[in-house]
Amino acid sequence: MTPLLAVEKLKISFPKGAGLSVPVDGVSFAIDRGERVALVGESGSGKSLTSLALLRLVPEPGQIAAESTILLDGVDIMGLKGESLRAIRGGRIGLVFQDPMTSLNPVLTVGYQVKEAVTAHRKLSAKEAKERTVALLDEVGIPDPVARYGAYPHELSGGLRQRVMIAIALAGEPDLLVADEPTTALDVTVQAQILELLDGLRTKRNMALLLITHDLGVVAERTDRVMVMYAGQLVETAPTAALFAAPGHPYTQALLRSMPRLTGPVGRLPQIPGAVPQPYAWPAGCRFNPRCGLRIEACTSQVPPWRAAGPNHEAKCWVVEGRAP
Amino acid sequence: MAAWLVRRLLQAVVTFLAVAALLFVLMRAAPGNPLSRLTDDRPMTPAEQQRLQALFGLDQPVSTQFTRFAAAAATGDFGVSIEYYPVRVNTLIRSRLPASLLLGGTVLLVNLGLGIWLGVLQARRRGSSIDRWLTRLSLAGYAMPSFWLALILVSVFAIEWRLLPAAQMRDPLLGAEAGWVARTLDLLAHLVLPVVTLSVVTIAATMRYQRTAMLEVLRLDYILAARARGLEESAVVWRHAWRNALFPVLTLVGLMLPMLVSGSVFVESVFAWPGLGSLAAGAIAARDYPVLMATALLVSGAVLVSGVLTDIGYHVLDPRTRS
Amino acid sequence: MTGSLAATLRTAWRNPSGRTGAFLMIGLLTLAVVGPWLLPDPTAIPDLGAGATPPSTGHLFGTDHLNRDLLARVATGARISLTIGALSVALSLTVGTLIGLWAGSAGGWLDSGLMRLVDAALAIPRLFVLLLLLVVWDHVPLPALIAVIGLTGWFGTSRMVRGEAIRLRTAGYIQAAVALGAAPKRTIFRHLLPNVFGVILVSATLGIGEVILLEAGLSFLGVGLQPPTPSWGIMVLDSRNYFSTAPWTLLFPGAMILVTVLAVNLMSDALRAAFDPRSA
Repeated sequence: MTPLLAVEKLKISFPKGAGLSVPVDGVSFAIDRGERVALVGESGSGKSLTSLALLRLVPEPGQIAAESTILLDGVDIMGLKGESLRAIRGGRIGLVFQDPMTSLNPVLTVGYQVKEAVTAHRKLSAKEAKERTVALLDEVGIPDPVARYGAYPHELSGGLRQRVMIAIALAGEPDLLVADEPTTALDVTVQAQILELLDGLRTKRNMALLLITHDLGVVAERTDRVMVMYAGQLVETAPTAALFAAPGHPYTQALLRSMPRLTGPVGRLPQIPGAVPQPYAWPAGCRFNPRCGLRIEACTSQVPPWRAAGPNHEAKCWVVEGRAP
Repeated sequence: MAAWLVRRLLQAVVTFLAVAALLFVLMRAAPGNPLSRLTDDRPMTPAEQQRLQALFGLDQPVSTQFTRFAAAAATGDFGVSIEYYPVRVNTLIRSRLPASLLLGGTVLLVNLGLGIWLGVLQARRRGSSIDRWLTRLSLAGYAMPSFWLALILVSVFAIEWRLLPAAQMRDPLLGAEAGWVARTLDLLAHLVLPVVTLSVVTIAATMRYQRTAMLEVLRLDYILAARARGLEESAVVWRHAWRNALFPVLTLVGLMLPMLVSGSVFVESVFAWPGLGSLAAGAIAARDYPVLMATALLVSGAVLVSGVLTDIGYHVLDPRTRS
Repeated sequence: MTGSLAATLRTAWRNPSGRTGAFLMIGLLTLAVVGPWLLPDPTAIPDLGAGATPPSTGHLFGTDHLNRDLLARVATGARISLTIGALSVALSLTVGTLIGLWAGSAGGWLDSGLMRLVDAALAIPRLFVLLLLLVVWDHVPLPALIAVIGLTGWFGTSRMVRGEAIRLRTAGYIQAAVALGAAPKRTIFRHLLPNVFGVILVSATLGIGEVILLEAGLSFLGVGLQPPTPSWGIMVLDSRNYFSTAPWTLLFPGAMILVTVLAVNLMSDALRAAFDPRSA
């Protein structure tokens, strides 16, 4: 069976002086219908650009390489343009942005912005469109949706605005919802509610969910599978439980160590030494090698292969302990 | 909102008073005698000169002159014209105002309509050859002396090709029996060259402002978000981006008014357009001080009013400032 | 900032429009400096009866209605225009910077009073200010004209400099320096210039274009410089009655204004883009 989404060799480059900057460099993954997948990485790892590439919205002057393919139900959206591309954006793939403060147009009412997302993908009468919009606002848990229809973004709280953004992403009844750090800009108390809402909506509408985050804590309870991204490439992919139980890649291990825990001794969290390298000067060999405590000779010169670390669990590392499947 | 409006209006009134004071200082600071054109032509007895001075109030002490001028500015009565003596300045201005409003209004419409459209086009095609050439062309227009362009247009379109009238606002040979269609067409034909001239020399500013403002908005998150929800490109550009990029262009209208007025002095005098600009240009040769003062004050008042209107426009268009 | 100034100028130079403007300006400056030496006397009337003659090898731009050599007149006009442009803009910028700094660092009623006056001055179109000053003035000497034009062009600069001065006065590092005993005005001044240099440079180039157009316009209206001075505006005015029979008498002086103003505006545009790459 073909997966809902299959990304192959996704490579995004920007001109940088005389050379190139390649923030996403050869990313391949697939998502099945109804699956909940997390894409985890530090800022600068290329995960947000990856999500924008799914809608062909890489900002100028960035370019997706010609060899990249993005298959949605077997159709390569790299070949689409005009109306058929528009039908994907919001229609097949809905996108929830990181910051609801800046992603809503300040001079248009929130009702209007949801309604235009509804009518962008199907012909409806004015009355039907408004009813549908109010229903959506209600579905994402906005109290008193009829009154809020005419509100401007600045009149709503951050949490409510993010609910509006989710309503917009749902308006085209997408098969895949991509949420890019949907709670980073919000208060801690609101974060859980928004994640709860996304989870509930996904189940109800049987959508696939691609949750992009830098926070492994968010991932643990709400996803089936995790992909770890580092320096423009995927370095590990595993079922969520397996990843937390036995992380394969030294980077993933370091990420987990730097996560605060409720149990265990209180003390300073270990940090990963060094910084994410720059996309115009990726290290040779394994890109994590300058920061890696387990580095061996091969890491500095040769690109590591994908190695099995368990059932459906692979890591791109020379030193990962291969467990028999 | 109401308190804000009152404060803004008060500020405009204070500024207007300062304008009047400045104009008066300018008039007093200028070396020379406004009546010299009248007295140069023929020898005058001291008694005659004194009578003339008294007629225009120049025999009074400066303080009295200022009081009179302030009163004139407040009541809008600027006395008698020197050139068209004994016609009152107000009568002159009233008879010339409609033609100027017609010309200025048409130019403003053309300028904003075309300038906004071209500026948005440039921003959408940033860095393309069409963007570069539009910038160069608009800069060339901006660098063009309006009186020179006007004379060239007259010599080509009116004298050489006889396509359009060279001067005035109406064809004097068009009799009273002509219908309104013929009259309107005649008026439009007379409008073409002055409007083209003034639009060419002023449109660069509108294009520049619109392009810059549009570029600022097009890189914002909510534009990306609008594209991500599958809107048509025209909706993204005009409804989402342009509505936010309109604010800076609004301020430009206030800034453009002085430019437009100064341009009309030249253009109206070349085309003998019966407006305030040609009145002011004519007043120069005759040293018709009262007329120049009155036009300057009127124009400055209009600039201040348009500033207030712009601010109100901001408040109406931007919901964030409304509450 | 001073360190990157050379880099900014290099960026502006790499801009094709900016380079075109610079080349045009070099040509115009050459014409203005060297032209009047090599060319005939611009006021000489060799053969009044011959009138306006079209461009020929003897007179590259032809002659005007009084048979005066048009190229010589245009070259002297370039000298006049560029002198007025450069000197009056220098005057405007100096006055504007000083007053802006004064208002911004003094604050209080002095500041608000000055700025109200600047608001008022900006509301009167500059052309009208100049008309009122010059209209009753017979035979305005060139230095006086430069002074008058320069003194009516500083309002915008002063407001901008004042804004920057206020921003600096409240900036933490200036307050720290003052707390440590530095003289407030000197400190602000030292930090101010590098901060506003870019904007001032851009507005200076734009201002030169504006002033050249303004002077030409005043001359065309019969105010300011008077015939037989070969100001470009006067030359356009002179051609008024002859342009259908002798179009070159209209074309050349006006084209000179256009090319000169375009040259400074292209340079200004390239500088602006170099100082603020996001707007390019």
